[in-house]
Amino acid sequence: MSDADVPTEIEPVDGIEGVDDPDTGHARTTTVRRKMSPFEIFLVVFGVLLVATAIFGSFLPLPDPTQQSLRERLQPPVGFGGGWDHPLGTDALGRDMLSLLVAGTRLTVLIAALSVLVGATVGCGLGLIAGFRRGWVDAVITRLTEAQMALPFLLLAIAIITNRGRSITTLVIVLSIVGWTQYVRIVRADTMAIRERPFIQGLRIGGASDTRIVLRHILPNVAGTIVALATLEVGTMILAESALSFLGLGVVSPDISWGGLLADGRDNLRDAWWVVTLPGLAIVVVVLYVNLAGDALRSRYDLRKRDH
Amino acid sequence: MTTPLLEIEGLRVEARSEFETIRAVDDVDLRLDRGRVAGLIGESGSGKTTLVRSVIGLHQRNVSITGGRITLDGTVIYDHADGTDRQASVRGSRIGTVFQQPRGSLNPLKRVGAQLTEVLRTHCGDLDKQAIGQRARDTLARMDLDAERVMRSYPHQLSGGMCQRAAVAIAVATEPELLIADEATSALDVTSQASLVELLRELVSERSMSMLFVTHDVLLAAELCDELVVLRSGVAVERGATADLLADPQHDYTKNLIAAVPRWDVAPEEEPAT
Repeated sequence: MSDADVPTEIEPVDGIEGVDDPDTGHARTTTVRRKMSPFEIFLVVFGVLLVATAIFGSFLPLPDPTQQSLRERLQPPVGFGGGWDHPLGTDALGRDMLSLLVAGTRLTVLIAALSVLVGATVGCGLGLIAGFRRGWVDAVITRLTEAQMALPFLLLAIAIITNRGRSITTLVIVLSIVGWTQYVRIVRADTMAIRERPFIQGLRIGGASDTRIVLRHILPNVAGTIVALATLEVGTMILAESALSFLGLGVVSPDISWGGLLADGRDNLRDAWWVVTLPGLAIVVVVLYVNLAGDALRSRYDLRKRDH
Repeated sequence: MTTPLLEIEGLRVEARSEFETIRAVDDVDLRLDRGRVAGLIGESGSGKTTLVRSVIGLHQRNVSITGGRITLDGTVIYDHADGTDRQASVRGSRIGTVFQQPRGSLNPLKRVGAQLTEVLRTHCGDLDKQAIGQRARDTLARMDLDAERVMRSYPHQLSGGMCQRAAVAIAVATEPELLIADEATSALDVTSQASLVELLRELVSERSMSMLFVTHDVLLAAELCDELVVLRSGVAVERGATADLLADPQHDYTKNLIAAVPRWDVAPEEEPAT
């Protein structure tokens, strides 16, 4: 500190109200809820459309996605030699690609969302307990996590799916088992850091119960990280579901998912690119969207300025 | 002789690490009367914080009390010999605490008002919602803060000095008999520091509260405290009334501490040997 900052007398300090005076504008008054930017509006609209497609897709005036017509098989999309009867072309069984994509949205989004939800709930719960309790509880949970991570995903998926049979429930269980370990590790680390912060000490001094400290004070402080991780995981889950379906371990016909479509199309990759490319594109766009939306959510609702 | 508000007798605290066990507080006695301010001074690592944490019973995991007795207003709250441990029942309600980091002392995601009323709800169960809100606003107003605005603010919307005042408000809202200020002013600039010290002094005399003021700043201690205890490596090397102790320090360590205070009115001399 330079000499100029040192007051020669202590007394006038009371007069220097400006230091803490809210009306002088010295204190920062960032508004917490600002207006949405055009990009954020776009993200919201896209999200609504995606969910609406997943829920109400079957009411759209489109051909039945299960209706096969071998005479119309492998027709290219409009602009590549195809007609308006099937704007995005048809697959090897003559099913309308647009209808298939719309119908696939439901299962893809549902499976990804459910497995992220289950994985996040289990993982965050264990992470909070491990990080807050420390000691042997932490050791047990951490070892469990490590044991889980040491198991190869595909081997585990094959074991569970062959054992339980292919179903959507099994798929969600398998995907959640893949996901939960990430949450444990990250939430545990965050919890351990936050529990040492003075305000948690203050709450203990104030007599708050452990449950209250964890749920009301630590959880909101790690929520930003959880949302960030969960959005990344939605992408991972969609890709993992696609991978499993591609290997024939995922969604069973006549249920339709994008990964399943991708898998079905691989035989015709040489002469009908659209059968693989369109579901692939859909996956890329949604994964990208979820990541961007997660970013936007975090920057909008993370109040921490990280200046302490 | 009246009963002291806080009496610490023969307190010993040990900190274990992987390789060794350090005696962080070694046989320290302390006596604090009602309405008085005791300063605990010493350099970093001298055991000041460990000592006050022992009073409220909140330690790091590797730290434990290995001997001594703590009495609050005649009631034994901790006695190592017979295993008495009533610290949890007095912290918050009878002992308030303010920490060093102004912003770190508040949850960054909750409005200051919510944090203040949460403490009041825990300890003043007999008050209804309106009374709690009123008490919260009154306490903030007493801290020379714009109560309505601060209640609605998140910590990052306030300056460091305002945050620390809000933290003091949370510590004293339950009207504790003892306030522990652990380096409470150290992270503030000099002007905020001076006004906070003034505020603490007023609170002590208004509420006939006692205060344990932990600091490494001899000047601040001199200004605020009635008596001082000098800690070095966990041992109380010197104690006495502030004026006497500063005017005539006996122990070499105390002399060095006082000599180390920077002075702007004299030319810098050679660094005193430590």
